[in-house]
Amino acid sequence: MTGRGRFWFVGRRLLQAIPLTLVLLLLVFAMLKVVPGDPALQVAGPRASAATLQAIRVHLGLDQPVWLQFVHYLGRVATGDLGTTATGSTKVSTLIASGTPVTLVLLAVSTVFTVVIAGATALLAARRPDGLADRLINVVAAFGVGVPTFWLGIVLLAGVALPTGAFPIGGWGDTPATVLRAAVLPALALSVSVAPVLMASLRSGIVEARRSEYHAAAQAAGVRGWTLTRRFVLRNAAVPPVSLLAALTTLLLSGAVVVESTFGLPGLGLSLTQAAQNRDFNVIQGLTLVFSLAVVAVNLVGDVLVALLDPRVEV
Amino acid sequence: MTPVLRITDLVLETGTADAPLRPVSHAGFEVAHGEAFGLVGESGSGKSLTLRAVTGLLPEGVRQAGGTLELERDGALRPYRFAEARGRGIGMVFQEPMTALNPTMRIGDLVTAGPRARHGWSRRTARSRAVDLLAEVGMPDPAAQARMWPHQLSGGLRQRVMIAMALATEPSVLLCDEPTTALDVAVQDQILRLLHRIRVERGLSIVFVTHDLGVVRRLCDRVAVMYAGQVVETGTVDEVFTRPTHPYSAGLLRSMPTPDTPRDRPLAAIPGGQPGAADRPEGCRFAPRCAHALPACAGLAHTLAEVPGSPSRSACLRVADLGGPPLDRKALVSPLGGGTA
Repeated sequence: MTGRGRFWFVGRRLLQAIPLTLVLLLLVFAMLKVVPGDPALQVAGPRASAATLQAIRVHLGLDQPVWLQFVHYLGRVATGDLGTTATGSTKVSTLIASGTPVTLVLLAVSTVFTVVIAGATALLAARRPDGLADRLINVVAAFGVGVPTFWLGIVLLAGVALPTGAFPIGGWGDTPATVLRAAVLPALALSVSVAPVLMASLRSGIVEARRSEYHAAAQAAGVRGWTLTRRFVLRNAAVPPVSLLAALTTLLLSGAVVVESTFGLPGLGLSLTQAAQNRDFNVIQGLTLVFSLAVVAVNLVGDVLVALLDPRVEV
Repeated sequence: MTPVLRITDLVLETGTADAPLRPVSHAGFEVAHGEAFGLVGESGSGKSLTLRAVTGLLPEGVRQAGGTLELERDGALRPYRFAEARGRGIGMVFQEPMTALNPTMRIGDLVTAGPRARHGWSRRTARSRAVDLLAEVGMPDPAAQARMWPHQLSGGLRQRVMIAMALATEPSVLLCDEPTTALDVAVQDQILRLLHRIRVERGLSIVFVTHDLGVVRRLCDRVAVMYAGQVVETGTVDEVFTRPTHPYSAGLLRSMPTPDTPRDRPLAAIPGGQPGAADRPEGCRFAPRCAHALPACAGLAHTLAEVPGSPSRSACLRVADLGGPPLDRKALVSPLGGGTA
């Protein structure tokens, strides 16, 4: 793909994301509509009169047709107004703003761990397919996929954080150093379930590239050492894992919800758990929207990266 | 004169060490300076494996269990290390230009990837060298093509890129593994002419593996015929094509149609089929299919012996008493003399 081709590819992908986002907003909006119970009744209490209920419905805009309610909802989302929490004390947008950095750091550190773990083990396993290292890594990987994240989190807390004292027993930090230290164990717990999937994909990519004719042809033409590995193995093997990593973001996000509760990290995941317990629909709706948009954005980035890595990708 | 490449008693094995199969056993040939050498045989005869063994790029599960590989250096044949030979003495053109070019690299980067890392060329040097090579192999607008990706080129152009890539290391021997099999006929002809021109211009030697006798006739000076993992006959193309000294070569040549072949009769064929590596007979491997076989053939040890009254060497026991009229296969196709690539 030429430089201009790439530019258009990114542009087209961005345009394609718009209808997807609208559908997402519609689904999130519909979430509240399908929840049983009358919001007005919830606000006013069971003993409110019919007139009061009607007044509240008018106040909340619930007397209007559903499509108009959706338009209003879009308008509010566009201005960042996601309502208030059930207690009415905090804006949902404020809650999201305070939780986002925590979750982002957690996901970033976890992604780095995932890539490093998957990359190192894949290279080791691919050195001799079906060799001892390969089989051992395969067994450990199967274990990694199977182990529940919350259990691993507790094991890391009890087995590493407590005895060594090098990491906090839960909670977050307030300086970059303490933040990173607080993120290490939860990020690790999160990576363990995701890294094996990525490792398997990268490993088979490496093995396939090494068996390919273009690899043999490159060797015949005197390419060897690091150039051979980098340009004729890793570059080709990286394409499927990159799109896979984008798809795995959903897994990382749901894992983050669990890990943040286990480690008591004040991120979006913890807010979601608490909101679910308190039946705080505004918060659930807001967080669902944020998570969905994050998945759309990550997949967009993934698609663009794949297109940069593999010139044959055209849309 | 010292040959540029000599392969002696090459043995290739697959399977376990206790019960190995030998797809190639005691294959050998030598190639002179500036010569085009043909290695012909059916699928499964071991010709492509033999060629791959020369660069040490055997497929997974196949290993070299014996044999000497030597390359000429300073006037004498010396055993070589693969890493060294790949970068300098030997280049290789693969059969499938669709799969042999890395899809994630631009043509220009691909062509000079080997020498660039070896000589520490700058990107600029590598690019300009690549453009020169692409021009040499007849790419139209080489500077523009250098920026293309492999998937954007036709099969014929990709094979030219493959040849440029092999030439980038300045080899003295170019190994070609059925380089025209995957191409359509018109393009085949262009590639053959290109290889011929490059050989003449660069004075390099070419080893050509093919099952196409017509290609050998057109391009090659000398030929080795392989059957069931062994070389059964070797000699000049003129001699082998007119007076084959092994019944297998003779059968192969007779099965080739010429313009005079009657169309209402089936083509001559050798009865039976080539045995696989697991079920090869003792002694002469061709004997069970051979019209001239004697009981002694089943006990024959494989050697390429000189043939009385012929410059060829043959593995056949009855070479002295199997004369017969010479085959006229010259009319078949004319050798590549003039013309442009």
